[in-house]
Amino acid sequence: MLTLQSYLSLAAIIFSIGIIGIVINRKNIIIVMMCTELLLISVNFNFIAFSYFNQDIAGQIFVFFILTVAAAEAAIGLAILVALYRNKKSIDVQELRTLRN
Amino acid sequence: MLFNLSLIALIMPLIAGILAGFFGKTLGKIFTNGVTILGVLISFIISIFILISILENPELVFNQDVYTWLSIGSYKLSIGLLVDNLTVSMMIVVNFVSLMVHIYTIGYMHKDPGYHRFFCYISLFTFAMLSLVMSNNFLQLFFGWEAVGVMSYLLIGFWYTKESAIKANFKAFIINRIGDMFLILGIALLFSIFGTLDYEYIFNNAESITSNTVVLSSSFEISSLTLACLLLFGGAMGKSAQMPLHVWLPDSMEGPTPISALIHAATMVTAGVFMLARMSPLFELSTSALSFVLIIGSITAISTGLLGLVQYDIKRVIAYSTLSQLGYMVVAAGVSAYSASLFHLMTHAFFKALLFLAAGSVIVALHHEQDIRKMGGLRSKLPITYITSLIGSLALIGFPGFSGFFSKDALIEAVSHSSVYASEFAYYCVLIGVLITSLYTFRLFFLVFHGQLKDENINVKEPQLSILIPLILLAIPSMLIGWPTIGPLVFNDFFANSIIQPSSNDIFGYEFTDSYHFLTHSLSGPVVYIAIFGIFVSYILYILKTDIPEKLATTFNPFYKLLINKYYFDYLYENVFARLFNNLGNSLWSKGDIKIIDNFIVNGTAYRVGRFSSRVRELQSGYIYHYALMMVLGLALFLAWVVFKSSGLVL
Amino acid sequence: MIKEIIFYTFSSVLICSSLAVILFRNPVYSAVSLILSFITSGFLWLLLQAEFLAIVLILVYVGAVMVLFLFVIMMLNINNERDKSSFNSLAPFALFIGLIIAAELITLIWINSSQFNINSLSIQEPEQVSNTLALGKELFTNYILSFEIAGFILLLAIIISISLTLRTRKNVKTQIASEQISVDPSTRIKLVDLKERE
Repeated sequence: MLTLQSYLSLAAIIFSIGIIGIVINRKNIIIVMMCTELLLISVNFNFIAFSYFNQDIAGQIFVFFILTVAAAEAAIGLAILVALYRNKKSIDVQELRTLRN
Repeated sequence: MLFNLSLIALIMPLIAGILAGFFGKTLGKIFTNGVTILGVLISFIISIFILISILENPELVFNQDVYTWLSIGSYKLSIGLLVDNLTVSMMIVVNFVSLMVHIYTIGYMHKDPGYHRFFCYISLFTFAMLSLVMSNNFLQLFFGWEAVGVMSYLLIGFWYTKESAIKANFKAFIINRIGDMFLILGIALLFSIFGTLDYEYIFNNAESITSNTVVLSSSFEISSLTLACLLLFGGAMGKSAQMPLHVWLPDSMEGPTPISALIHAATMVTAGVFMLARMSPLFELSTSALSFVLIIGSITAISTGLLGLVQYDIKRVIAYSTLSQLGYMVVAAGVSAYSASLFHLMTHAFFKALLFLAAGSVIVALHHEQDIRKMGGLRSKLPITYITSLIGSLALIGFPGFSGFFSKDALIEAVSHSSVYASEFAYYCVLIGVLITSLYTFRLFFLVFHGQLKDENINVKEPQLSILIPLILLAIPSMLIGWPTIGPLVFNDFFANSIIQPSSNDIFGYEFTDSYHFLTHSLSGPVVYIAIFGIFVSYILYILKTDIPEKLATTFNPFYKLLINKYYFDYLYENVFARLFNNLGNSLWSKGDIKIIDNFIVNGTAYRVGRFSSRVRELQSGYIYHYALMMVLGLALFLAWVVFKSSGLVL
Repeated sequence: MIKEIIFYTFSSVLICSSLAVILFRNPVYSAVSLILSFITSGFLWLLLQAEFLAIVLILVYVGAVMVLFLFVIMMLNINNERDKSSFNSLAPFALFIGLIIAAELITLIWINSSQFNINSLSIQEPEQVSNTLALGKELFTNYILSFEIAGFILLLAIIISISLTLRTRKNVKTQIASEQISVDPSTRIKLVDLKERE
């Protein structure tokens, strides 16, 4: 019996995986961006599930916009990354400490 | 009109004192003398005028506010004057003795560098005492109370370079303070019951609260009137030096002799007795308080008298005599004979001041020698002093015809007829006290003025006139004032509109007709004979067979030691209480103040903030994922809270 | 029944590929795992009768965004074959926090389940229109403003990306219009008064 809770739980799991990914990564910044995409996907999932179970199309509209904004944000984030790489010649997370103290 | 006059009488000594204090040094001795004596003289003349006006027209007594000092909501505290017979008699006593002391000081403090300061202080003291007796509410009473305490402190420590004087004035002030604590509690209790501090209101409504009780614990209730009276008497115990708060008075002899006469014989120490009389409407409603007063008074009367027998300083003997006589006054109040108590207060003021001033005259003549073992045979050298001292001593022991006789006898009569609890004990105490009084008085007298003239005293001569005149002026009332005043004051209703006491028949058991009749009546009682017997005994001990006292001292050595050490009261206070509080203060200072407040709280806070902030600073690591983790942590906590809230669990 | 099987299969794939995103060392592998999770979630959306959005997800996200990701990864030439540990010191703690968050979220979902008014699964849209049509109807009438703003956001993204990464070559003669306009005439022209020759 597929209930709403199962979809929501799935979304919750993806969300927490995304959060864990942001916090524990040490490799490079790209992983952070990818985990952001995971977060956004889980939110979209939530919306679609609710829209289906409440028979309201507004959820899907919202997903539409989230998709748009997520694409824009990914583009800009990558542009920032490229600029950063050009300046520091490295995208190692450990070296990005200029905010220290 | 009387109101304005009383106000002037009150303010004059204050203005005189301030002028002398500020300008005395620059304007010279004549100015200081003149302005202060003028101030007190004006006050004295006004007091006499008020007395005459009131005697002629009893309607003139008044109770009027001068101005409202403070008004909070429905509570009004004001400064006011209550001038009735009691007030005016106290005013006359205070002003007269103060005037005598002012004149005396011209000669006594002639060479002292603090001359002007002294006059300023005694004028201010007169003002404080007057404000105490003229007050019409408890607040002003308290102000006067504290003010006389402060002036006493300043005057006892007048020679502030002497260490013993400093110790003595601290002792006086602190012990006074202990008494004042009780007084404050009593006033607060009355205020909380009545909502006002006005005498008139409280006295009129006192009867309505006789059933009011103060619950001290679940099993112990005490009538609030009794408690208030006991607390007020506690204040009187401090000020009037009853046992156990009597220890300051002998040490207060460190001050100059004039103030011993003024403050510690005639006025300040009698403030307590005055207060008892003024509060008679309250005390009459509580027999247990009266019994307590009686017991304390009688213990004081007899035990301090015994102490006077073994002293060698001329002023200390008289000081202990004062203590003993104060005990008498308090005993009289305890048997509800307030008028007798006040009468004794008045006569005592005269003859005790006289004795003190005479002692001062001896001291000055002998160039400030105070040990009576170095005196003797001075009657040929100091004749006027000798005669006035004789008059004073006879008055003190109650020799028939002198003023002290009338007051003491009336007092003892009242005690013998009373039926208050412990009145029998009091009667025996006062009776034995009469014997002891005459013993120490004439011991002093004989040792100073009779016996062998010592070689170093060959050249003494009478001091100057400004010292002798007050002696003479004080000797006159000591001799004569008993005759005319005993009738109206004690037996009839001179004080009727001021104090409440049972009718004279109930108290004295004796129908008064006139003074001569009183004299013969008391010749049928034991008191006079005991007093005269005492004269003979001391004559034998100190003139004829002068070795007996030492033999008695060695035979009863433990008892003698007890007396020499003043019943170890001073020892107790100094070593137990004072040390306790000293240690407490010290440990509070070193541990509390330094360790806790300075180190832990003040310095420690700064130190801990520094440590904490350096650790917190590590949170700003620069790693973004650290920051992200913090955000996530916050999210986790928030979700936890939501979970708990929605599941109904209460954290 | 079929639905459950499909759901559980696809959801397990989704979860595994998400985990793979964060656990692979090679960033290219992580990107590819992300692509897999997108596709899977697209299938799951199909289960929920959101066909349009599923296809759009795959077209836009996978086709454009992930390709962009791969471009950048390969352009930056990230070399991650070192044998240092890829997890930082906070890993256990963060893992713990993440698990707690997941647990809390799931708890919240199951606690509040009574508040979801869940219609039965078999009720279809009353108008029997396709998903695209329903979406279009709603979008262009009620949400037209948001639609325009979304377009504007995309424009913004283009401008920002270009301005962040544009590199100009030096010594190239280009026209800078703003400087051309703001020139002060007195620095370019000097009026000389020529006296008449005799």
